[in-house]
This record gives sequence, C-alpha cells and structure tokens, in this order.
Amino acid sequence: MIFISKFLPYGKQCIDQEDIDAVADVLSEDFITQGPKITEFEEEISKYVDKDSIIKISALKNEGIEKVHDKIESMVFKGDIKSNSSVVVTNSRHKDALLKAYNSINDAIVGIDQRLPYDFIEVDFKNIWDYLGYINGDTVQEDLLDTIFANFCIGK
Amino acid sequence: MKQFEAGKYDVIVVGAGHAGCEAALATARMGHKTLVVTMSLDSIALMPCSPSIGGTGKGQLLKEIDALGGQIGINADKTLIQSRMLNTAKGPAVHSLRAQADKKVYPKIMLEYLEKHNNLDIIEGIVEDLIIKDNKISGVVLNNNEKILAKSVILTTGTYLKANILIGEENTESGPHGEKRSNNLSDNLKKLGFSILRLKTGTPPRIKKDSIDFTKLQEECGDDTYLTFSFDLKPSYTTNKTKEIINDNLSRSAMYGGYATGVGPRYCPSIEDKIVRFSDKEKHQLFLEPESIHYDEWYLQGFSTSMPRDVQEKLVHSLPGLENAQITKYAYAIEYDAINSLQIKPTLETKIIENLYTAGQINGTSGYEEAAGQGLIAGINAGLKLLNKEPLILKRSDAYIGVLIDDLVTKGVKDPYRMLTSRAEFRLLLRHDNADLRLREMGYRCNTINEEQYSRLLEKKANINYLIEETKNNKLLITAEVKEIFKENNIECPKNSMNYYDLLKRPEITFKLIDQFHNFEYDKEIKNQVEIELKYQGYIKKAYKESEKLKKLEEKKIPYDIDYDAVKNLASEARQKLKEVRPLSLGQASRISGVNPVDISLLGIYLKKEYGKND
Repeated sequence: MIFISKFLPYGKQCIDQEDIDAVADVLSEDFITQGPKITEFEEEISKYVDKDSIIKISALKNEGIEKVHDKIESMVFKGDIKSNSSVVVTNSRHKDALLKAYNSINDAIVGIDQRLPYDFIEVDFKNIWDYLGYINGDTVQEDLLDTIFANFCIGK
Repeated sequence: MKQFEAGKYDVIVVGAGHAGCEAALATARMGHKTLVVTMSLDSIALMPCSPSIGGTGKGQLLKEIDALGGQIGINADKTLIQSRMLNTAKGPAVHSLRAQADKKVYPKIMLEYLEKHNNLDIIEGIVEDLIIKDNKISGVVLNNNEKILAKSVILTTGTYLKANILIGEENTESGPHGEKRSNNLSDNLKKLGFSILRLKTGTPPRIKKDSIDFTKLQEECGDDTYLTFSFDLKPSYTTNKTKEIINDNLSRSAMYGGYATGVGPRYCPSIEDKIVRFSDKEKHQLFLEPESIHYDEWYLQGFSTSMPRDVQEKLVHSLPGLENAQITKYAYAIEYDAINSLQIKPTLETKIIENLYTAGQINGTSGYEEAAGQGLIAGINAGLKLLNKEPLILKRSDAYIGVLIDDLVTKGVKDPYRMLTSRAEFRLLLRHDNADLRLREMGYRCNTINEEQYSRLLEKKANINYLIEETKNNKLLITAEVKEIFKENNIECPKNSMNYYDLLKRPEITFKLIDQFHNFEYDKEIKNQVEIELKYQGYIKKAYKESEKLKKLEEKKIPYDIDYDAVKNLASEARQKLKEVRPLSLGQASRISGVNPVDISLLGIYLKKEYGKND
C-alpha cells in the first residue's frame, strides 16, 4: 500500500492507476465482501488507530451493530465524549422559533421583575409555549401550509 | 287529538328565563313578530339561585351583552342593592363588576319591560312538542294541544326539561322552587335525533334574617381577598362539627347516596362535595347575602346541598352565627335534561332542524350571564336569518360570548359550563372596559343598537383618538414646581421634559396626576381608556398579534359537505371528532379535542387540493 500523503485534495480527484489495479484485482477474485482484503485493511488501519476503536460490522447481515452501541455507551460513561456548547438545529424554521421563544422568555422575565399582573406575563408565556410548539408539532402553524406549498410539490 | 291553531308568529321563544328574555327582545327589536311561551308569568327572568349578577368572567359577559344591545345589564342596574368592582389589584384584564340584584324586583321590572315592548306577546303555557316539516321547524305544540306556528323557534328551557328536585332520598318531578316542569319536550327532541344529557345543579338554603346572629359574623372576618365585596356580604365558615355531620350522613345525600344521576357543575360544588374532595381543609368559606329589600330571606352562598331536611337543619346550626337560624327554604339539587352542545352550530342553530335554535342552560351552561349571552346571540341570528342576512359569529378574540359559544359547539360539555376568565386566551383584549368599543358596531349592524347609541360610540372613539393626539402634542416642562408635585405624590419625576403620551406610559402616572399640569378636557371614561391603552400598549399589541394568527386560521373555511373519510391519513379519533362537530373553519377544527396539528395540516392540504384556492 502506498504511503498516504498528508493531504487528500477534495476538489480534485486523486485516484491513480495503482488504485484502479487494486480494485480490479478484487473484482476478479472470489470475494467482493468479507474477503481477505478486509482483514488486510483492518490490520493497516490499526497501525494508525487504537485497536479498541475498530469494530467490524455488516449492515447487510445485521452483525456487529450491538458492539457499536456498547462502544458508544462505554465512551459516554468513561467521559470520552465531551459535549461541546454548540447547539445544532436542523432547519431555519426551528431556528427562528427558538429565537422568538428566547426573546419571549426575556420579555417574561422583564414583566416578572416589574411585578406586572399575571395576565400580561401570561401573554409572553403563551408565546414561548407556542414557539416551542412549532418545533415539536404541538402548535398549529397558520402559515405552515403556505410554507409547505411554497417549498414542496404536493402533486395533483 | 285535535290541535287548535292558536296563531302565527315569526319567532317563538320557549321559556322566559335570562336566555329567553334576551332572545325575545332581540328578535322583537329587529322587527320580527315574537311570542314568548312561559310556564308562569311570575317566573319570568327569575333568579332561582344566587342573587348576584356578574363576578369574575361573568361581569365581562354582562358588559358584552350590554354592548350588543341586551337587556340584562339595564335591568340589573335598575334593581341593584349593592355593587362592587372585583380584582382591582390584579390589573384591568380581570376587573369585573359584581352586583347584588333584588330578587323580587328584578323579575318584576323585566316583566314590565317585556309587556310594554312592541312586537312581543307573552303567553303562559308549556311547550311539549315541535312541529317539523322537511327538517325545518314550523311551530310548537303546547300541553293543552294548542298549535302555534312560527318560522323560527328558540328553545331556552333552562333547567325545566324533565326536572327532578332531590332532597336526600326525596325525588319530586318539579322545576325550581316547586314550579311545573316540561315532561315530554326532551323525549320529543330525542326522537328527532338529538342526544340528551342529564345534568344537575343545586341551590343552598335560605335563612330568615332575624334568626341570624350578626355579631358572630362580623367578628370572624374572612380573608382579605374579599374586602372588595359589598359590606352586605357577611362571611362565615364551616366548622369541624359541619364536617362531622356531613361525613356521618353522606349516604343520605342525593348525590352520594346514589339517588342522583346527573353530572354536577365542577365550579359550583355542593358543601358535601367540598368536604369530601378537600377533606384536609379545616374550614370552607361561606357568605350570607340579602336577597331582596322586600323580604327578609338571606342566601347562604357556598352551601348548596342535597342532604335531607333534618340533616340540613343540623348543618346550618353548626355554622357560627347560625346556631339558631331558621331555614325558610331548604336547599335542593335539581336534575334536568340538556342537549349535547356539539349538535349546535356556532350560530346556535341546531344542526338537525333548520331554524330551531337553543340557548342557555339547555345547552349545558350554568349561570344567568352565560344564558343571557347565548339568548342574545340566538335571537340575533334567528332574526338575521329571517332577513336573509349573514349570521353573527363572535370569535374568541372578539368577546367572552365568543369563547363561550366556541367552547360549547367545539368542545362540548360534560358538566355545567361556567365562564371563567381563564377560559379566554385573549383576556387583555376582552376587558370589561372596552366591550362597547369591541361590540357596539356589530350590534348596530344587527339592529339591536339604535342610531343614538351608535353615534355616541363613534363620538367616544373619536374622543379617544383626539385625546391621544393631544397627549402627543403637549409636553410637560420640568420646573421646580412640577418636581415638588411629583415628590408630594411619591412618584419619581422624569429628568427631562417629555410629552404626556410618553409620560402616561409609566405605570404610576395617571391623568389624575397630570391634570394638575395640563387641563385635558375629556370625560373620565375617555381618560381611563387612554390610560389603559398607553400603559399596556406593548402587551396589548402582542395579544393583538396573537389574535391575528387565530383569525388567519378562522378564515380558512371548511365546506359543510366535506367528506372526512376522503381525507387520507387523519388520526381515527380526529376523523370521528371532525365528523361529529363539523367545524366551519380550520381554526375551529384545531380546537376540537383529539384533533392534532398534524391533522390540521393534512386537512389543509386536502382542502387546497380539492377545493382549489381557499386563502
């Protein structure tokens, strides 16, 4: 195996004849999966990576998946996984809703500090509830249908 | 059996309670020939239970009914003993007026008004059956077999349908206070396809004034949330002895002894309910209030019960101040038939029979104000339909009446429905001080508000705007004198001069203060409105924005003949509920219990595909 250069160019393809030959070799042999090349690959990888981190699975045969579960679980409990402070939101509507909910929370805090009557603060609380409901589906969004029709094709 | 045709009317109103009176007056005012059929002329606009009108939630209803041209507020004003504004410390959204009306005078004044009114006839009789042709109402049949024809009929039968009075083990077929009841009407409604529920409510004993030891009551005052009540409301409370008597005799109560089948009101529990449900509570608060200046019976609020008479005697005597009290009328529970309100449209017309309307306790509500509000709307809509005009449907953001009717026809009722401010999402918009600004114009378009009232409304609106402009155009200059006045009033003085508009936004600053600096020549009412608008502007705007969202969903109409089976992927409970309620809009559909936002989206997509553009 050729020693891997430090950088793999992303935009430009760097497959050369040696790679093509290696693939062709495998295709002309008996195994396409679970063959000796796999073992060879695993041995090579383990030179670079801690052996415990290598789990052999077959999604097709549903083998080894539970070992992945166990590995993740032990990593969590050992404290190997650090939660970073960034929050991941999957779409812009959700992000918008979270920001609005956050603003309403601040408004509610201001109202509480000013000792306003409950009926005023309740307006902010209802907004918080509704905005969060946009994300988990508890709130009917009056403009959702317009959004759906604008962004998706419903078909005839 | 031969039926005698006794006459022909545009509208017949069955029952002359609070709902019936409003309905009849509305149709009469709109110019329709109206007949009221009542069991007894003496029981028109009766107040069979509490002598008070208004209170939390109900006071707002009263103001709205008045704004729309209803009569209950006017009648109450003429017959007041005492009145107070409640919840003043909790902010304007929940201010509500509560008043004690004179029980003897109130019905009398209402009857006089009805008798003098044009387009209105009153007869005594009991309606036992309806005349239907092609699923359309065409008249009523009385118990003496008289047949009276009409184009529209409004049922406001209150608690009289198959009513049973329960006192302990005693069960009497009777309406409230020993009156007659209707025997067959609810069975006939059932035959027409209406689903009937059995509900119950109760009333406390009445005590002879002379037998009350007031000295004992004045000493032991209730907690101070009730200080805003009339001083004529005397607090008392239950004792351990009361608890003991109830627990010892629980099986003799109509409710707990299993003699009653109806479902009682959750928010108006009997005293045995309170003792059982809140068994760890030491004392339960009670109030004594006068019923009328013409007779000396006092009403024991909070003490409704269906215990037998001998137990009632013991219970009353266990209360402080009432050790020697004489009971003039015993408490009782009353069971009655009501219809399932999901069978009614938001106009209060029934879904099954055209031009048949129902209003009041027959729809499963409790309370005079709740009944009056429905009666008014039913009357207005029956009247509008006869004129081929669009009905009046109040939204939840328009009025408490809108909340009430929407709750009834969209969610249905399991126990007698009482209006509470917490039922309204838009409390800040539905204040009792702005009921006229919200609703008078609608009343004018329905002809229940006359020219003079309408022009006064327009004047009021104009004055409010003028005053707001004036506050923007005038500045307060901070002089030494001004600083002094602020100091005297213990209010922080602004550092720089500012216009009165901005000044009034501050919570502590009122016209009372700034009148000392600038003469704003406007009525107190106008100034009050402007104060509220300026101080709560931010929140009112937010609430208004929310109501706009609601309006958008209400505007997405659902055709009446939609086939819910053709809407794919609806949750089965949602589909069943949608079929039952047949909502008029996506907004109403979203409020049905069991219908989720996903179902609403699916329904919306179906509507768009099937019925084209519905925005």
